[in-house]
Order: sequence, then C-alpha cells, then structure tokens
Amino acid sequence: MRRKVGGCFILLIAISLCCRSALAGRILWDDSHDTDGDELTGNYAAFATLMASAGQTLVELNGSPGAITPQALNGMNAVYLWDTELAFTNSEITALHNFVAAGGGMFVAVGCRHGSADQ
Amino acid sequence: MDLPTSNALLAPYGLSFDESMTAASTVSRFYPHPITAGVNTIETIFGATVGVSGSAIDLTVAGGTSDILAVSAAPYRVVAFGDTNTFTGIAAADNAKLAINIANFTAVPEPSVAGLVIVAIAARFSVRRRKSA
Repeated sequence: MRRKVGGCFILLIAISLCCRSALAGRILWDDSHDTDGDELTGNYAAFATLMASAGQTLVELNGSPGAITPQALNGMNAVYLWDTELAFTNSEITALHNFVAAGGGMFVAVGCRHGSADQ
Repeated sequence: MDLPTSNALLAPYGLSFDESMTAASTVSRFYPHPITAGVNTIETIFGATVGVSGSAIDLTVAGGTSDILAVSAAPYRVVAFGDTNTFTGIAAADNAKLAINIANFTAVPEPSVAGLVIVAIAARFSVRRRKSA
C-alpha cells in the first residue's frame, strides 16, 4: 500500500512538472531596434497581460542594434522581433539563425512603413 | 520599418515582407495550423504583406492584402506577421486568440529535465512492482 501511494505521488509530481513545462515559456521581446516607443508597459501593456495569463513570460531587451547576442538569447524559448525600425547587424542575424536552428522560436512582426508610428 | 535586414533574417525560412502596405481590414479564412486553431477573423490596421517561397506556408486563404500571416516549414518555428497593430487591439475579433496561439507555437519550452527524471523513476518503480506481484 505504501509503495502504491509512493508511486502515485511520484507520478503526480511528474505530471505536474511536465504540464507546467508545456505551458510556461520565456520570450525575449526585442525593443532594441524600435524607435517609436513600443513598450510592454505602454501601448503593448494589454498584450503583455495577455501573454502572462497564457503562462508566457516576456523579457524586454532594451538598448540599441547589436544587443541581440547568444547571451541575450540564452534561456529563452522564443524571440519576438517587433516593428524593427533599425537594421539588424550581421552578428545579430547570425545569432538569431543559430537560435532557431537550436530549436528556438522566432516571431517577426512589422507594423508600419517608413518609420511612421504604430497606431 | 527596416525591411532589408528583416528579410535577410527571414530568407532561410522562405518568408519575406513586401513593401505593399495593407489597408485596415478584416482578414478571415485561414489554413488549418496550430497558429490558426480557433481563429476565424482578425482585424488589421496597416502594415505589410508577407510573401512565401519554398516550403513556407501562407496561412491565409485569400490573396492580396490578406496575405499577412505565414510560417516556416518544420522543424523551424518562425512566424511572420504584417501588422503589429493587431496586437495593440487584442480585444478585437480573434486577435487575442491569434496572439496566444503564436506564443504557444513559438515558445515551446524544452522538456523539463526534472520532470523527465521523475517520469523515468516512476516508470522503473512501476515495472518493479509488476515483477514483484
């Protein structure tokens, strides 16, 4: 009886860990190529709340072009490249290609033309 | 937006953004895919259309300015979308559902090592119980 209870307990922990793993992801939100103020605490606050409710953790990457490095991508499950007004550097493109080749997800979204701001 | 380097980034996956600007519209009818599951209609404001080549998949059925969503072929998990404004207006149509589907598709975590170890222990425990029974 004790062994049976122990087996069930272990299985419950395993299922719990696996389910949590299936739901929770870490997403790097690139803000280092944006010039018109797309912020998770600003016009994308509702989006950030939605992602959190879906079990996803958004991590904002600030700075300037060149900020996307293997170190910045380390530990992330996906990267979101959002409304990039500034060009990616060659080293960033290489880092992103390597990230995707290693199983990382990438979402590239554009929103406007010639630098006009998002609505 | 900077299209040249974005397209250089996307080229290996058969995806690209086109200069043609889309107008505000409602996009309906999508090809079946985990990204479009439960998504019937999305609203856009303006952005760019998405082109595909090779094995990449255009997830929209209608052509023209409705070509706004596409995904790479497996095993890669790369998604291109032509209007960020859709995600500032997540309350509209099925925009929120699309956002969640994209997150779930792109941000699939690696299996938990701890979880896998415990599953292995549980399986071994179960086998030993059956042998001793």
